[in-house]
Amino acid sequence: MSKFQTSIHEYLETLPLQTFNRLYQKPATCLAIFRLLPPLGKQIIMSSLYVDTPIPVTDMKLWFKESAGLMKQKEAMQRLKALHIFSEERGNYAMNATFLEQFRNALTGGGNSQSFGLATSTPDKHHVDIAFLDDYATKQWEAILHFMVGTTEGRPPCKGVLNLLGRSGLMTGGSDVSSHADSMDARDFASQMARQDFGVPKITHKGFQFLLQDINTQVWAFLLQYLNMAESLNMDLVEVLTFFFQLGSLELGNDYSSETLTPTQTHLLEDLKAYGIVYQRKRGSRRFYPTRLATTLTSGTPVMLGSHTNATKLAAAAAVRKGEEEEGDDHGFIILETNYRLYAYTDSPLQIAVLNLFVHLRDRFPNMVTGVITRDSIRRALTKGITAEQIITYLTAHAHAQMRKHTPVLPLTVVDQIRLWEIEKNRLRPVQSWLYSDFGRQQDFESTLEYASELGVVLWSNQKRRLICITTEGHQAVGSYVRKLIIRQKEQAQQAQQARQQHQQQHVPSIAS
Amino acid sequence: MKDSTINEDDPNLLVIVIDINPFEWEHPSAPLSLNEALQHILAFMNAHLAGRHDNRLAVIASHVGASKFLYPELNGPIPGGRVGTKKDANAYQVFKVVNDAVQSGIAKLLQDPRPALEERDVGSSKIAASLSLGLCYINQALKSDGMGHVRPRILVLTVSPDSSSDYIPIMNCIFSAQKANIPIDVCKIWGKDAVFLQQAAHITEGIYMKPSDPRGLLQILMFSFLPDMYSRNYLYLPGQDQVDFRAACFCHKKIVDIGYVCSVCLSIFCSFSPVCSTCRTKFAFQPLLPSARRLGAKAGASNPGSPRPSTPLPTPS
Amino acid sequence: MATNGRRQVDEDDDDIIDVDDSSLQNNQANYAWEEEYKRSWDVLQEDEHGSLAGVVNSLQQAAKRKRQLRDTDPIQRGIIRHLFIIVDLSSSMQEKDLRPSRLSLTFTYLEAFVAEYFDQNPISQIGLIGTKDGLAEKLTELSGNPTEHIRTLKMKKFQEVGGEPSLQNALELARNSLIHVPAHGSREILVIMGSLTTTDPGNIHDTIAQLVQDNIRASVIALAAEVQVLKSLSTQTKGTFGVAMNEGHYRDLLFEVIPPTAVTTTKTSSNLVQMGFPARSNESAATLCACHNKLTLGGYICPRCNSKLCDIPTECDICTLTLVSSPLLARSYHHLFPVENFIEVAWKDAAATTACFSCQKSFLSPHKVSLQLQATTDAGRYQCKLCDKTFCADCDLFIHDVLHNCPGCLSQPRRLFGKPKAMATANIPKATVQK
Repeated sequence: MSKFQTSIHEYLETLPLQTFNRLYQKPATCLAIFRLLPPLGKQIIMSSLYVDTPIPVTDMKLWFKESAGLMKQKEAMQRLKALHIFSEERGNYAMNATFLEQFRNALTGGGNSQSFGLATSTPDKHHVDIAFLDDYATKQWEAILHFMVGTTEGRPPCKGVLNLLGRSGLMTGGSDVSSHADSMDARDFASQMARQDFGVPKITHKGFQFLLQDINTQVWAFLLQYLNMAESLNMDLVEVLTFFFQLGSLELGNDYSSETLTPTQTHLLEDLKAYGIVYQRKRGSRRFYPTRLATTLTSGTPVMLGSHTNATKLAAAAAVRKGEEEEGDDHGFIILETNYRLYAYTDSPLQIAVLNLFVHLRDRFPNMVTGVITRDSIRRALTKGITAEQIITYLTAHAHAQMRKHTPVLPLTVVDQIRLWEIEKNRLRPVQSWLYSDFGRQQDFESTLEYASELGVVLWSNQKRRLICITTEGHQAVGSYVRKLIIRQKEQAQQAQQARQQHQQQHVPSIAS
Repeated sequence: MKDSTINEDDPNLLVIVIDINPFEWEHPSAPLSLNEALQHILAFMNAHLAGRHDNRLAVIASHVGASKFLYPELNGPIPGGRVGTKKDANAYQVFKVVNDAVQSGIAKLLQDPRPALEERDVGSSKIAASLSLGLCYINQALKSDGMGHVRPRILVLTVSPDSSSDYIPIMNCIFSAQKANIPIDVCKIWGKDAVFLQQAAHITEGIYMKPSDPRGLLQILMFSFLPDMYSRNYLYLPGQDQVDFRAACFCHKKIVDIGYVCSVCLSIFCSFSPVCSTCRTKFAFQPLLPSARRLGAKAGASNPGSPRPSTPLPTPS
Repeated sequence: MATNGRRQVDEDDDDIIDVDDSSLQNNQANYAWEEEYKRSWDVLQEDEHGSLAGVVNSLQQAAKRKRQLRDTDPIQRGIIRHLFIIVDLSSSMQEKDLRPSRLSLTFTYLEAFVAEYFDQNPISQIGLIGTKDGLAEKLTELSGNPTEHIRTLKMKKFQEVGGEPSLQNALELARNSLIHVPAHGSREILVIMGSLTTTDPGNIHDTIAQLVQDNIRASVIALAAEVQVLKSLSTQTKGTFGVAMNEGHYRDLLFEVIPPTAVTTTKTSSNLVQMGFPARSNESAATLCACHNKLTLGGYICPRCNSKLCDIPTECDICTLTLVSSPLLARSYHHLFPVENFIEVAWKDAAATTACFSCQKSFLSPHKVSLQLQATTDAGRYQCKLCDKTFCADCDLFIHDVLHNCPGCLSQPRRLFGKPKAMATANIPKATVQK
């Protein structure tokens, strides 16, 4: 399961049952949520979809093979319950009635929910083709990313976008943005951002990580942020979500009527236009076109935007017209050699800017840049909060078709070295611990140390200075042992010098192995 | 087959072969009409497509005397492209395109002049042809899938009895499917067990099933035939206890334990005969047989009796 | 547009590499036909869009097809085969003119050979003989069990080679085993010879004459050069002779032996063979099997003597009845009823069809290809003479190499009176004997 699916899941699982019941009223939403499930979850739904009685828990167990199968079933069932598709009552699994009905409708095309988007009845005088839509989506989305990396290309995005960037913590305008933002009306904040009251917005750690993700994850991250904001704007969550899922079921290159949309959704359309997710010729037009960003929302196929030269974009568009989606696979442009050299066949300033985050770029040609991955370049990226894993995922995701013929895709030496460079940074590891000090007698110290090491809870000790570090788990046992020692001492040598003991909780850096 | 390389995220390619043999579907004893069954099958197709957005589907109709792609259609509207079909906001466009293509395709096939009734005795529907088409389609699909992730499988929904002349072509299909690791699932909706297809499912590690009540077809399809190759690793699915691999002799159709096999063409006979009736080979130690009269028969095409794929002869119309 | 041009070239490169991969299968040999292919760049011309893709495609198709036009005459083929493979284990096998060495390449290929052989000839048998130090030794007896041969090949792989081979000893050893096999099966020997010399105890020509007399066919693959005695061995026994020029060629020579050979009508005595079709039995308690004397659960019961055997196909160890299953027999049928070769469709007739009948792939429309280009390429569509359906190159290859069914012919209504001519094996043969 890819990242974006997980993030939607996490979001959805926080919603209450009532919201779900309203969500499931639209077949399109049911279908979209269904597609997010793991394969066995899907199978459980399909197997029980046309069974009219609740299914006993024990019966369902019989469907699955022992061990591995049952484990998968448990996982899948957990998801299904979290999404309120199934509930367990008196030893039976029962499917949510709304979901059941609407999902059946989705499969058979029944019902009258109009959730799959109403196509316009008349042809558009200003009809646009898929190539145009791709171009539009690319432009809009890249404008946002350009703005984030601070390249001067493209015009700055509109205030709605700026607002989102600020709220999601991807960019910061300097001072206390977040605290202000909460108290302030979001629109105000946006205008302030646009007026640059906070100075030039700067990209945050989170923003860097965002840049390295694939475009689907990026779009969803944006939309989820939008959902969070929607609440503060008094927009109806269900309507927003329904509209997102509906967009995912639309067909690229077709125009849809905006007349059936609710006011909230019409408003939403305006905002999505700014992200390049839908295209509308002019504000208030009665029709809109979903772009590739929209139609792949629920699919998980990497959208090939941004990273593309004109040629591939056209080819991809042509391929889709022919119905050969597998063409979409060869959208990589990076070749990485075992000698840490990197060649990127791209002329997009955005991609170059992203690469520049962790590659030492050397030469630039009309259609290619070359560079080297060095310790310094990686460390620079690491200090910006980017992780080695993200760099590796990014490189793998954008590897050139020639690279993909190899397994593993990336040269192992480079991958390992990038990881090592990251580990290099993480030599210190904080561990919560208790420090025992001021042992009165060497003998006390030694017996305590012996006791503690038998328990295996000693992190560090110093014979000379009579210091012992004990893990938090071991504190109780060792503490009571020491207390006992003290009491015995008191009894044995009354009024002898007392070991004073000091408990102190603190961070002790210990050398990681 | 159940190798670990099957990935959770692999898209599936399902080729459905639908037997629309009107003689069977319109038989008075049929428990289900074709139209009813079709509703079930369409819902099942949608369920397959619903599973993943990149799941693919091909539907082939197997008619008496013809076999035809219903989806994707030859010369038909391009899948995924802008189609002239009326849009319906209540239906997912992808589902609708497929369903319309299948329904209109079947209607068109059934409209064509009825195959003459005599042919009924000659053959049932063209399962072998449909399987061949399906395998070619899969072969092409696998070739054009650069990443090699597509998991193909075939599902045969049949009502017709075995057609003995289909034996060799079906066997050929089975072995090519086995070689390419393509499971052939078979749902014999009603009637006697289809022995050839039973073997097909057994050899290719597919599922063979004959529902006890065909009216619950959809539930059976959903439960047993929908799971993809990944899920099958974790599910108990209906299996076959006993597959009869004994051979029937070519001369009297008797099931034989010990038979005589022609060393040249491997035809099976239940008793000794001097000349192989299939390939006309004259067998050596038949002392009483007159000497090689028919040696020329082996030369082939010139001889009408030699085992050749049929050359079209003028048909009486 | 610079980027565009680059990608284009890139794609072309990919395609060429693909051809290599598919045909040579992980060996980097140079082929005669490949040379030809390269020369064909001379005739390359860009189409009106300046793209070479179309031309390259059709060139590939031509190359694909060149290799697979085959004999489809319905002759009798010996399907029950008995083959001895004589492997030279002399010191000359250590030569490294074939990579990694003659010996290890031979064993690698033989493993693949055995698997493929039994796939195509399910009721045939193989035996392995090795010869070194002037002696011949049987590595495996004649048997129909591929796993045993493959295991032996893997084991012997690490055994040393040495001395001179003895062709005569090896041939005699093979002959002694082969003369006992029933007359209905073919008797074949395949010699893989790396050495240019042989140490024989007697006159090899006597042995060759004996082989001819016993109706044993000997084919030879020489790894070094053409040797007169090997050549005459193969010509006299009506076998084939080939010298491996490189790794790829070696493999081709070896795999040419796999399809069953046509029966030379004068020699082989055809016969009806008695065979058993055992049923698989599932037992609740383990019983001893007749083949390994081990306790096993379930197995196949010989219908004649009721002994239990582990696996089929095999010969019953008790009563020597050949035991097979009907699907196994069916596996061989395609040799008997091959699909007719398809004929190429010329560009001028190409407009009639737009897509492949079987895979629905659309063809290049002739209107989009310049006449100039049409002169040098073919239309990429192939027609079955019998059903007039058109197929693409991929399907053509698949249909003839793997499927052995023509989907077009099968999809047609069966002719009422033409039927008995068809592969009526499973039908009552009385109908066949018309006229």
